[in-house]
Amino acid sequence: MKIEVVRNILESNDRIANEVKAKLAEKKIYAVNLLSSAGSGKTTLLENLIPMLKERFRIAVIEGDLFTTSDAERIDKLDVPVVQINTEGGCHIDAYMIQDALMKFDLDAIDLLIIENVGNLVCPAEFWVGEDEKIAILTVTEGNDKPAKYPLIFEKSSVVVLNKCDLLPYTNFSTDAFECDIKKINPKAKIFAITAIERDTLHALADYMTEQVRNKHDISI
Amino acid sequence: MHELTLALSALDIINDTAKEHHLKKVDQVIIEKGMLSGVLDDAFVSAFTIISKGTCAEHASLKIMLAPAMAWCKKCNQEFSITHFDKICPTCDSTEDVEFNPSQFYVKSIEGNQHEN
Repeated sequence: MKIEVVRNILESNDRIANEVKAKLAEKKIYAVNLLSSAGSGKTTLLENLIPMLKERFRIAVIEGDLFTTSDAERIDKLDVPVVQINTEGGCHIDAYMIQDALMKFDLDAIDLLIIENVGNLVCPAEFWVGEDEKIAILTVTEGNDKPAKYPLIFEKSSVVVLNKCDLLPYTNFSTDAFECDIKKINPKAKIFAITAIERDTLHALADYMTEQVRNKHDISI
Repeated sequence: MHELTLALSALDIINDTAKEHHLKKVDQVIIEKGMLSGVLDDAFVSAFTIISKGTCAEHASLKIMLAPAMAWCKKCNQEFSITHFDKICPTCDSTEDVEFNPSQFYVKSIEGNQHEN
């Protein structure tokens, strides 16, 4: 007996992600999913960006990590609510984990939710967790060929942040080739060139996120 | 490594369908994956073999069929297949109006028996 099924294997994750999305819409919370390989400066970026943004609105962070709580401890020092998700070796955060983590926050006291995913340039891109947009970070030390080699993450991210630009003179990274590849994979992606430890380079990204938070606050019902 | 999560979701779909159609044993499962889905067949099959133990799909053979990755040009109202992530509409040469969902990974069909043997 043969039965035609035709069901998307990611549907159970997407169903939960839709519930997360509805909850975030109800609470008018703008959520970003921060994706990159390990060591690209996700937490360092947050350490420098959050002090700039927390004057403007209320921020909370979900920290994804395989085993440790060290990143969550760094965020905790910024005096914003943070929830740690340990994936116990798992390579990505999925929508179920975010749904659980949301229960630990006071959602009426958040305007911007930042989800720092597990450091991995491949798997996290597969799993929508209900966020408004994905932000991918690439560093100049990783090489300009990475968007072509790991296209999915750049295809699914509406913002691409190029970090560690202060190291450009010491690498063979070609910004032109990088921008050209991003344009092919995702022509609408916005690119921000930054050095996470130099706050002067973060204003454009901070302003962009501010605008997104305000838009979500205005359109959500 | 996310193949384990995908295998768990696929097993849920297979078990639901088998239950709905009163299948005691599932002999074959056809999976369809898009060319650019990024799923590794070997990793998926290994994960499925482990997690399906003790379920009606324990001895099922898995067939993974490769489907072309399909993109859609909103401007031309046209579907076309792509082999790379640089999605260029063959009619209007635009990349701006092209939509593409790489996550094409489906349980297409299952075949089984309503009796134990």
